[in-house]
Amino acid sequence: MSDDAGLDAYGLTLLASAARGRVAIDSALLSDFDQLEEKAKSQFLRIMDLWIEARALTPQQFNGNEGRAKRGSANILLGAFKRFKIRLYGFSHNLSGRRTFIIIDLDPAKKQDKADPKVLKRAKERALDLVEKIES
Amino acid sequence: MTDRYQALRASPTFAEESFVTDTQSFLQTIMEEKGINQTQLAEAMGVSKARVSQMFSSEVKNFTIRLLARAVHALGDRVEITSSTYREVEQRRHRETTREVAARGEHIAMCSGWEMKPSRRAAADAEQVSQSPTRAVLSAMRKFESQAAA
Repeated sequence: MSDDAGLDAYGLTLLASAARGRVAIDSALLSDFDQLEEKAKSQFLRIMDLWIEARALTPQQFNGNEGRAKRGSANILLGAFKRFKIRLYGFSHNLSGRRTFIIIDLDPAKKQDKADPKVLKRAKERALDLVEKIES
Repeated sequence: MTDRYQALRASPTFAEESFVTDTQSFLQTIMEEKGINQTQLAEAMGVSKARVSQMFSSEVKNFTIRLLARAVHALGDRVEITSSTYREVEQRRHRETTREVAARGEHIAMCSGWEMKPSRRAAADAEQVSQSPTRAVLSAMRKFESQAAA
């Protein structure tokens, strides 16, 4: 099975992959991610590599609990990769038999090192919409 | 898979930033194992919490080699540095030293007319060679040779 199996159908693009998992991003966010500075992009990619390998991540690198999104029977725990006050929101899902962290929102706000409630709320909605699409 | 970030991953920027990320993850691993948080690490190191926060930030300002050694020491551990080239050199030295030690042992036995019998001492020496192929082993062999010659 190829590393990007099952991603295209849900509008996702592969960012990092290894035997133990992969990280994908909503293709609509890809240009935002690509526009980040090389330093930030490099640190994010390496943090993704470490997440895939289930290595220890610092609270400054990854927050595994940004809150839950609930709708009907769906109950999703959101997490975020964090660097340079930028947050990449997403959730872990078994997609096409692969452990996949799916990034569904990006908050580039550099004003504060806190989660923006508006972006977080939007991320939760996007996560629920995507899971509905995947499971339908 | 075609990695869309292949060029970035091969760049000096990625090498630098991934080392920063790996070092922070390395410290986090030890801290989790020891059940120590960043505040407790600062106390153990005798530095401010702000200094430790800097070590874990994206910018990693003022995170020196000395500070890393101090952090790991405060966690009751010791930093070991390696790289693929360094590992290759170490493995090659190990092989060469082991061969050289074996060759010298045979040479001494032939010159002195000794029968090569495994002894406890020889077994211990062989064990030491396999574990630590250092110059100390060669030095010990030279000493042995000079004693044999005398």
